Amino acid sequence: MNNIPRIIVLGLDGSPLKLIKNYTEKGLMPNLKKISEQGSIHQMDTVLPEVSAAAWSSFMTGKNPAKTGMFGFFDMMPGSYTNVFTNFLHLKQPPIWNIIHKELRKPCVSINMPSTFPAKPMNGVLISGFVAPDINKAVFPQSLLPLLKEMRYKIDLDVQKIKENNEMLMSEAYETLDLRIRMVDILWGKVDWQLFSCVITGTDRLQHFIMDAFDNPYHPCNKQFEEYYRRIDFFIGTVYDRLKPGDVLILLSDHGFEVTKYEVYLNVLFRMKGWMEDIGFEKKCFEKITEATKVFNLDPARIYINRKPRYPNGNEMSDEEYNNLLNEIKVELDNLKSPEGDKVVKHIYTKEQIYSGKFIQYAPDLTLVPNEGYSFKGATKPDTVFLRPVRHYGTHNAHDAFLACNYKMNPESKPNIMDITPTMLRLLNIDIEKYDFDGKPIQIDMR
Amino acid sequence: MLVQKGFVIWLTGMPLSGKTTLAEIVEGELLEIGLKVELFDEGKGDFADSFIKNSGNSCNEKNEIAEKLGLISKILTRNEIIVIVASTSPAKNIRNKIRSNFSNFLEVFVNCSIDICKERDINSIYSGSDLYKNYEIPDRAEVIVNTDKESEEESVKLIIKTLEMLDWIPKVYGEDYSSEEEAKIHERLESLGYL
Repeated sequence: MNNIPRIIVLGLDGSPLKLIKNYTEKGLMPNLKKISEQGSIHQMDTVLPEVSAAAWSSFMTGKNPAKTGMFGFFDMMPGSYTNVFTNFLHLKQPPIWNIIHKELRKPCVSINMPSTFPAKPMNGVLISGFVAPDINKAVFPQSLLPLLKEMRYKIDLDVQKIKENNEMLMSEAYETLDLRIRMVDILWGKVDWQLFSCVITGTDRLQHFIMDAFDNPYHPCNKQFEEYYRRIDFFIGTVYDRLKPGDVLILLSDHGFEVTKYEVYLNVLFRMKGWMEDIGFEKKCFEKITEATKVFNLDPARIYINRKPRYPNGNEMSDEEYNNLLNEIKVELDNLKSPEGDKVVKHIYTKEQIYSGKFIQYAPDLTLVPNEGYSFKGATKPDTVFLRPVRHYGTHNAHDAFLACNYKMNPESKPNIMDITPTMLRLLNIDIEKYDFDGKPIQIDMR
Repeated sequence: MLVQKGFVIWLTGMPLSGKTTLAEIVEGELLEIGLKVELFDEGKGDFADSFIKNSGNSCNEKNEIAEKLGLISKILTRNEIIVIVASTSPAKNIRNKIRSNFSNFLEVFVNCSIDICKERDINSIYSGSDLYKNYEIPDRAEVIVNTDKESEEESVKLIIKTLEMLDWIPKVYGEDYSSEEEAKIHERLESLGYL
């Protein structure tokens, strides 16, 4: 028990390996470079759909979305077309800190992990991350709330301000990062933790808006983008300097990112094909769906067949008819070409191909992976399938997340975000066999 | 860090009434919210294996076990550990004597008809035992669960809700967002292009 290591996880939401490699090679991130040379750095896959709600939920449980029940930031209430925003109480599996408490009775700290709102009681400290709408319900124990309010702690960038311009975006990003760093400073020595985790989400925000600035020296935000990552590297350095011998530092992102060439509105495509009716575009427009709709899409590329009994206004369909429709849609999507004639869809998966578990019935019937530069959208608004980006110049990808550690990791194959929880529990000498993880533990050379 | 206070959840009831099952689920629920909990079961686990392995199923023997469990619980709760006890503890006066040692004691009567208990008796616990005749039904139990009429989930919920009402455990927020919270989430997701 005395020999088990403390584990520190620093999450850089959405930071792609491509960017990390570029910046470490350029000397912009010397601390991360030192850590990955002392240990190792790897490209990592995330779960589909490649959004933070699904990805961090799979990170903290080691399980796929059909077990966690988390397929996105929002989902449809079973048996209806009503959109519900998912939250921490919908998570169907225990997060790693619950397992550590159960097995070792040791406290943990989690700062700003997305999809941990509302803060549930735990052994340790939890400060919820995106999308937490109320700081009062985002903190456990509640005794920390006055401190957070006094320091004007922010869970995320101010939406109204970042809409204005990129200067405001940068200023908000720095302010929230500095608050996160202060929070780490405060909690580091206050709790006798076994696992300390902190996620920086400003990386994802910047990349949504100005991903095109990262490797374009002529972009007006190019230098600011680099400076932001320098500041993150400084933060990584302060954490590294605090490590005690034997501490394991894991750095990772929950998905990759790339520059958006086109936003692709799949519901518009379905409407043009006569597979979906016009339901308008207001907030609750999906509730207008009738039998006239055969298929619809939720962000980013979660495609659902409107079939009974899953949906109240679904179509009566035999299994054969269902499979025929799926095949028809697959052919259409496989042949989808951009205005320049390039292939848009890289992979099309049925739910059985990528998910397993009790909640597979709630999984999308089809999930798409785009070719580079295409950003699938679930909105119903535009009249055209392809739109050039006007505010969001970056989009997530599933294949270019990164994973680094101050000790050498020896993955048998490309790591997946679901591997990290079983890896950490094995480091803590916890028997992982009984937890039915989908991830495989990665061997870490502790010499 | 949360300041935890020690208390006892004492599940009493006839053998095979469902005490062990409920105790294990309640333990899991309390562990999930980060509380320090220890479970003592007269029928299984380290306590049963080490201290009472040769004990029989008579009323007197079960009462002796209950008294030992009461002592262990007292030691742990004064160190702010939560203790869950699954014990037949058939005699009312013994249970009341144990209760008198605690300021925070939750007695849960796990009620189940004798016919159902006997149906579950594949190891012949009831054969030759005086328990089913001499078990004294509690008159001070804070919680009564009827395992022959309600689901395990319903019984556990009742116990947990009682602990929340007593303010012995932290409350878990409800699942639903208020309309104001929903509007904020909508705005945030929209600002990033998700909606």
